[in-house]
Amino acid sequence: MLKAYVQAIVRDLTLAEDTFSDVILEIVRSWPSYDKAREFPPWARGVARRVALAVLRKNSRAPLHLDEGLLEQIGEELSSMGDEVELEARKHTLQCCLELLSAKNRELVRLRYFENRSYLEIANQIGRSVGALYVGFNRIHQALEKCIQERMQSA
Amino acid sequence: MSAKTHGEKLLRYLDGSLPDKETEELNDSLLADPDLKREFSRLLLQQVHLFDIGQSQKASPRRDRRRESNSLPTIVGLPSSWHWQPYLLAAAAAVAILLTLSTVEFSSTTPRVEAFVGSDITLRRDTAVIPIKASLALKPGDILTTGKTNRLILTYRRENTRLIIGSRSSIAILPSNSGKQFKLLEGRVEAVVAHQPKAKPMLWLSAATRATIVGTEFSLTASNNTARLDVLEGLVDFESLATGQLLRVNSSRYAEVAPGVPFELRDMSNGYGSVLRETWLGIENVHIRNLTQSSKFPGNPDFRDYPATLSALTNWPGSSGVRLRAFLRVPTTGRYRFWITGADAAELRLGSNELPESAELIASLNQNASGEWERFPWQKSAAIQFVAGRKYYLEALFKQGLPGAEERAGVVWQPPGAAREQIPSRFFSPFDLSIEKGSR
Repeated sequence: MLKAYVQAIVRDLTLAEDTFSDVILEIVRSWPSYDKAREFPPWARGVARRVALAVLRKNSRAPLHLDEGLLEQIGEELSSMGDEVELEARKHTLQCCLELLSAKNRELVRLRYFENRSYLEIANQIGRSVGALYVGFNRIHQALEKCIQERMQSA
Repeated sequence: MSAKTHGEKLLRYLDGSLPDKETEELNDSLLADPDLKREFSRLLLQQVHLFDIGQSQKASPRRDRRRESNSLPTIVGLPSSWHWQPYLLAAAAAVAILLTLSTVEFSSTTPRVEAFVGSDITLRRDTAVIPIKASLALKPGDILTTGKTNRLILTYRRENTRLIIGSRSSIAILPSNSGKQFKLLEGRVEAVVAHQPKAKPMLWLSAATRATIVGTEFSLTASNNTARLDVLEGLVDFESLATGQLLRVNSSRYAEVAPGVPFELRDMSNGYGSVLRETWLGIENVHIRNLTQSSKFPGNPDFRDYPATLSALTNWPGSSGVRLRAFLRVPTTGRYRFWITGADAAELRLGSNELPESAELIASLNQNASGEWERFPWQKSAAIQFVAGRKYYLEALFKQGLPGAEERAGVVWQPPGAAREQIPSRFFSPFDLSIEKGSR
């Protein structure tokens, strides 16, 4: 999942979306230099990494990122999480699992991921600390993951 | 360090707010702990999927209208959960509609696979290889590569635009908000393009050129530093990216970019209104199989030419075999009937699309009909349904055993509601051998 890989580097979902388009164009542009005897996924991730790091530098937003070797391992982990059909099924299951969250937690998800609000904005809006929000979101993501795993295993 | 702390750190890292020292620690923990690496990957995937879900809901004006009709504005100061539940209901109710809308929007700029030949076709999407199948919808970023004996037809649901990707070719579908955009990485593409909005023309890039298409029939062949554009019908703006020079290539003309070759308009010798005719001499006997089983068939004909009629001269001073190959395009949708005539033996095949592999025998002859159309009932095809604007592969084989005097051999048709007639040349174009060979 190349977009998730890009997100691991740029760490901004809107920027990851834009960077992913740039990655596609760069893969196409660099295609003549791709040695067809080599595996495609590591090559594509290499292109994505190069583009994403360039975007970070251009945006003057370059907090310390993970080692490139580790990023490559995470890319492999993402690739092993399923093909396109399985990932679509996972997304659909996630959508179903959202409905099982409490109203309060669903609102947090909406603000963070649908409205793209920062943790600070959300904290100010609901009158909680940013630290408490990280704790809350960590629980939400764990609950969603548990729900996804259970539903996908029973399907 | 507890799992909970790790989870929070992952979130902070992905928010860009984790201090450098803790990022280094997280880096070490991830390297050492496969479970944490898996947790991180799943979190990444969740975030991207949640963002996608939010984007698809935002993209739908229908959802917004529904929210307006429910009169549920967000009121600052109220607990946020007050308006969440109705919002969720509205969004859930609209999910099916949203998916349909987004699919329609998507399919207007990206093609789907209509048909393909061979199994050595690779579709790379993201970092995965997707199996090719009929009706598969393609997406921006997809890279399609064909092997040496493959061909592929791409079409659009809402318009009669058809792209034929030749063998040994690679194309990429580019992300674009301003029309259909492709890059021909190598090889060859042949296309019939329905009229495109002027502000959103179809664009074909190669390493050396840019071709802008509003609506036409053309083929483009490209490698790293060469490209050739043949326009059978219509008009294409063709730009050399190295020099910026622009040529307007019109019907039956071509231009090419290659080292040492002037970038200029040239006339095609085998344009619209002609058929590829191949002739083999010295092929003994009277059966079609005597031609098709010959060592000279199909690769080594004695002649290739491009006549403007679907006819085969068979009065050679000796035995001979002839093959006519063309793409047929009918003027109106309806049922058409075909006849074939010739000396000794003849076979007429018609495809359900542009690919030779789709062709089936529709009429034949195994005795001399000498230019007559109704001597044997099997000379005549059934009435066959055609769709206007589409291209169909047509192939006729003729075999003559002995030298004959002015034997007539050819193919005619009967369009819906009309009498039998010669097929007007404006309705066919020659089969292009480079489709089979992959490049010129």
